[in-house]
Amino acid sequence: MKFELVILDNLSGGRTTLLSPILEGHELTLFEHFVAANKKNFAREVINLELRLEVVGKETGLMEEFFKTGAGRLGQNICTFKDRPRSLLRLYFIEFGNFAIILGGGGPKPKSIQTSQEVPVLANALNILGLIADTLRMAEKKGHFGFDEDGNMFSTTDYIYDSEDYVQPPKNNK
Amino acid sequence: MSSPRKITSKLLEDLRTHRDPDESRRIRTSMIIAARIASALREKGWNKIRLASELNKSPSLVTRWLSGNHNFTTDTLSDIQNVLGIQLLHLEPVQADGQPTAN
Repeated sequence: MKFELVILDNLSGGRTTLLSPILEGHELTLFEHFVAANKKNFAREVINLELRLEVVGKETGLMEEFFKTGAGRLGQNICTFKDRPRSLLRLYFIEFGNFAIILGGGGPKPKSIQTSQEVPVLANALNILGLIADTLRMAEKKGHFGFDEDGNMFSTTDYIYDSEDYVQPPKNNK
Repeated sequence: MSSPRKITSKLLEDLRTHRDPDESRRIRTSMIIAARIASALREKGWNKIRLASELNKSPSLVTRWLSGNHNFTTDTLSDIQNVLGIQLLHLEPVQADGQPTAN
């Protein structure tokens, strides 16, 4: 899976940079796909979530108190915002300290459901972002992506990565 | 050192036009208050349990305060600012006409 990381200028500010991947062959970022898919049925939630992201980017920064970790596998740093009362939407993101967050996709998670893996749209969003997280961690190890001590992001590949270059495909359990 | 490409999303711009000003202000206020409390805790070297203990509240309630989602009462804000030594409510004495008293 090939993707490019781009900065969402609408949301980013002096506190935290908000990015989202554009998958090869797509025009929209994963976050924009999430907005487009949910803005009709969950209009209020999507609008408020977008505002919260902007406040994070421009005013408060990403505080650990705002989110829950552990949505993906250990080491992937995939997070979701803490629930608001009556909220159903889950948005997955990868956090890189207070420097940057990479917004993925998500969808509605009924309160009656225990794990996101039971909801296909959430499982799919988590799998895609998990692969991106694994790719970026390996790219970090190889020095192809990362942050310097001032929090400035760098890339040796113009922020374009192909997961096949970094992550072993899962073994087929036959 | 180059930055990632920046995009200005039309979809997000459009979404912004549908924000409810009152709800937006409340969300922003809750998040900023949470950030101020968290920052004060870090400066004092306190954790959530210490704050809960000082105010005789449960740690889970403090977690909700810090989530950026909480609808605070003025009593709660007054108590928090008192123990942390920060200002969350800015109040000035008022005259009979409701205007702040000039210094």
